[in-house]
Order: sequence, then C-alpha cells, then structure tokens
Amino acid sequence: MQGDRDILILAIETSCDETAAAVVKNGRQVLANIVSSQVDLHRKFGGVVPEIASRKHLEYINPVIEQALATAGVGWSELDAVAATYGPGLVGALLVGLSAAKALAYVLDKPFIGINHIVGHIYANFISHQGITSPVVCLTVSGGHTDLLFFEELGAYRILGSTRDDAAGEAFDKTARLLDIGYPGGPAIEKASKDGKATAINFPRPFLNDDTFDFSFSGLKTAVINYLHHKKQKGEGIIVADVAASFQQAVIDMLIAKILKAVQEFPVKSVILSGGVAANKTLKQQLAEKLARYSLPLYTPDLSLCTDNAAMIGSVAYYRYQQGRFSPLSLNARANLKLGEEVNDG
Amino acid sequence: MLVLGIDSSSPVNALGLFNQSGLLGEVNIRLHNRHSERLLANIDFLLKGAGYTVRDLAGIAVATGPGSFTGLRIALSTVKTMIQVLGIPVVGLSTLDLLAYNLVQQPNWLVPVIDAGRNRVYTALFREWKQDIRSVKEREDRAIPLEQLLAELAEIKGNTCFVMVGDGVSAYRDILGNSPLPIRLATANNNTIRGSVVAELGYYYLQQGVSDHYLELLPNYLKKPQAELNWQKKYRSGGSKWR
Repeated sequence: MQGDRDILILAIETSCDETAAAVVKNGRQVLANIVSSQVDLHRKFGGVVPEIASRKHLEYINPVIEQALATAGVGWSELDAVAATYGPGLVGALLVGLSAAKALAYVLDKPFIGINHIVGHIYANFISHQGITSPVVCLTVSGGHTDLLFFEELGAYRILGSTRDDAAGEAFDKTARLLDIGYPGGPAIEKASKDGKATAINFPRPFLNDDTFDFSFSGLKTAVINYLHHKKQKGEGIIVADVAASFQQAVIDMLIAKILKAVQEFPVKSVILSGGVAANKTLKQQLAEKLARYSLPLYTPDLSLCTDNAAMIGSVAYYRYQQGRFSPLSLNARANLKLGEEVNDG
Repeated sequence: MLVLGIDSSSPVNALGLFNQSGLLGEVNIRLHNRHSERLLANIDFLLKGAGYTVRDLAGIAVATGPGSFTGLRIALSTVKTMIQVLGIPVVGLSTLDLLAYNLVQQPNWLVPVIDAGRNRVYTALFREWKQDIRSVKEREDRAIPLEQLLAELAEIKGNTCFVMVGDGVSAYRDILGNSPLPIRLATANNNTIRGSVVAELGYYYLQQGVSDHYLELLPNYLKKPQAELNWQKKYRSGGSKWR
C-alpha cells in the first residue's frame, strides 16, 4: 500500500533493564540501534529491581531517543510511525517507554504501534538474516513460553502449538536445580551434558508422535524427580552428566519432532529459533542436521540482537504499518502479555 | 502564552489550560490506575475543546511530586518527550506547592499533607499564601511521620493557626482533630490538586522566566527504592565488614 516509498519507524523498548531506541527502515534495515544497559546498577542486588529500573528508564529515555535519531540522521518529520513494547515485562518500566512513544505519536501526529516483546525477539531474525523468506516455521522458547509458529508471510503468524504445562526453559531451570548445577538452567544443563550419555536414561517424551503441535514438559520433570528419588532410596549414586544429557535429549527430541511435523505439513522455506533455547548448541546442531534432509536452512538471531533491543520492535512495527494495524493512544502496559494476545491491540 | 498544566501524581488526573486571558479550561477526573490509558485523550479533549492543538502550546507545567511514583513517571515521560519535540519551556511544580496554592489569600501557616501511608505524610510549610508560593516556603518537601510534623508545628510560636490541606486531611482526620494545636482543616474541594491551579501557577512561573531543562526534570520521590535501603542496611550499618 506504500508503493516504493521507504518507511522509517522509531521504536522504543523499556520492558526490563535496557533503555533502548532504534530507527528501522523498511522493517529489516537498522539505521540506529541504541541500548543503554542498567545491568551494572542491578548487579549488587542479584537481580533487576523494578523500582530502580523504572527510575533509570525515565532518566535515559530522552537521551537514548535523541541519540537514535542523530545516529540515523533522521528528523522528527521524516518518521512514518512510532512503536513501543507494551508487554510482557515490568509494568513500571514498560510505562516509561510506552508513555514516551505515545507522546511522540501524539505530538508528531503519526501512527502509534504497540508491540509484543516476544514477537520482537522472533523478528530479530529477520534483521540478522536478510535471506529469510516466507513461509517460515518458528520455535520460540523461554522460561515463560514455548510456542511453535507458522508465518505464511513475514507480517503475520499463527500459533500452531504451545506447551500445555511448563515452558521448556522452566523445565531446564527446575532440572538444573534438582541436579544442583546452577542457574540459569539452560546453559547449566548444556554444560553438564557435555560428558554425559544422552541415551543413559530413557526419560518420557510426551506427545512425541501425536496429531497436535503441542508440547508437555511437566511429565519429564516428574520423571527426573522420580529417577533421583529412586536412586537415592536404593542408596545408589547418580552420574549428573548422564542425567543432564538424557534430560536435554528428551527435550530436544520433543522440540525437533514438532518442528519436523510442521515442515512436512506446510510449504516451509525457512526455519527459525528464537528465545533462550536458540542458544542451545546441541539443539541447533541436531535440528540443522535434520533440516538439511529437507534442504531447509536454520536461522538463529545474531548475538547482538539476542539481548533486548528496540530494532526488533521496529521490525515488527513495519509489518504492522504495512497492514495499517495501528494501536490506540489508550494502550496500557501489559505485564503478562502472552504471544498472540497483541492482535487485539491494533 | 498558552500553558498546559498536567498532574497525575494522585488518583486524579488534573489538566488545565491557561493564557493571558486567564483559565481556558480544566479537566479533573478520578482515574485510579488508568493514567496511562487516559492522559493523552484528556489532553486532547482539553486542547480541542478550547480550540487549540498541541502545536499551539508555548509552555507546559507538570507536577513532579511527591506522590504516586507510577503516576509521576507516566506524566513526566509524556511531558519530557513532548518537550523534546516541541522545544518549548517546561516548569516542574511541587505537588505540595500546588496544594498550598489552593488556599488563596490565607494569612495563616499553610501545611499541605499528602498521605504517604503508614501514618507518614509528604509535607512542607508556607508562612502564608502568595501567588509566588515558592517565596513563602519555610520548609522544603519531606516525607515524615505525622507525629513528627505535629511535634514540629508545636514548636512554632505566635498566634496564627495552621491550615492543613491535601488528602492527608481526610486520611488522618481523627488524629488531626484530636491535636491540641490551633489546626484548621481545608474543605474537601481544596484537598486535591486541580488542573486550573497547575496551569495558573505554571503560567505565572514561566512568565517570570522560571523553567527547568527537560532532561533534568525528574520526580521528587522523597524515598529511595526499598531494595536500596535494604542493601544499605545490610552492608553499610555493619561498618568494618564492607569496604
């Protein structure tokens, strides 16, 4: 609908402890990507303190916006739309960036587009890899969600399946805690698995061959608990590396099975991993090998775009702009926004 | 000089529009936790109703607290960003100054009290009412126990009485009513910040050339984050153990 005209979007992201602003051209070209991290401020508390994060966002937000525009060499009047993350995240932190973005849209009289942070992380791939073409199958996994998505076009997705209980990241964290090998669980399990035998213990793989695209990880977690309990009762020791490797393999088998099921059912051209699980080398390696049989490339985001940033928000916003799907200036922050819920907000 | 006044430091969103002719309009709506949803819509309603657009503004006045942290941040993030684009002057106003300003022409001590919870109040002290309310401010904004405030007022000699104003009046009506001090309580209609007052006082100061740099405009929280206080307690009170 825009013809050949370039679309410039200013995007803002303040969902946790990074104050970020970016200018993105046509959804996939990043003209500026400014991130001001507060990580040093929160370190001494052993985690992000919401009140401190909110205060710092308010101090940094305007300089970060200024720097994004200056770096991009773009003036206010050249912007086509303003976007911001409105969830999920810390509500006080979200409100700073959201209020700034809505105020900009109001004063500039440009469309405002509210973006789901989780969707942003998926679109980070579209920026990292210009070669990605639709249709796309995407697995997005974190400590809070596990979803398999299908993109007919890059601009819109539908959820094929989700976890019915725990998120995959949650299962990693809980198992790491049971094995007492550290936090966060993903990297800890992967490290512990290195010298272990993935076939040592045959943990259950629910829904592996069923008709849905859904996942379930709570049974696996229970199986690990039972295994450890059983060994303890018998007075036998365990080999941590074997438990970790067998657990990890069970999760990977379940994830890969549903990705392959999607690849077989849809005319897929690209496969994407997003979220914390995209960092798991064993998963990436095994999945890439399986996909090679279908001549399909596997994409994971560049490390530079894996942490929170606003460029990925600007990428999502571009596709929303193309569809004319704008958000009202009454849009509020949603701390617990789920994947898919954003369709009701613009 | 067209000036917009904005306050969202309490459950009430207060907006006013003021120029050389006087008050052009105001909005005062109790929103509870819906400032984020309503602020821009209310601003738009006020501007359009008075026949203006946001581009006609020559200045903005905004309440900087003390008050609700979240409410203050919504208003300040909105205002700072508007200023960043519009490049017009802005002035931050104390919510305690704004409440004292409600007591027009009062010759007595003015004691604004905002309920800070758990028998604590945000408070300040003014010798009398004056349009330049900052010039009669005797004590700066603080967060203290109500008991401490009453003890301090008891030290002040003279025949004048203390007029108390703000939501602390209704929150602590019993305690204030039982005090032996010569206290008078403001009437209910004066105990909230009104948009007209934010705009009028903002107009007054901006006309005098009093303004703030928008980057330095931040909430006056009057309280460190709880995590910071806990951390200090843990590592600083021990003395020799840390550093």
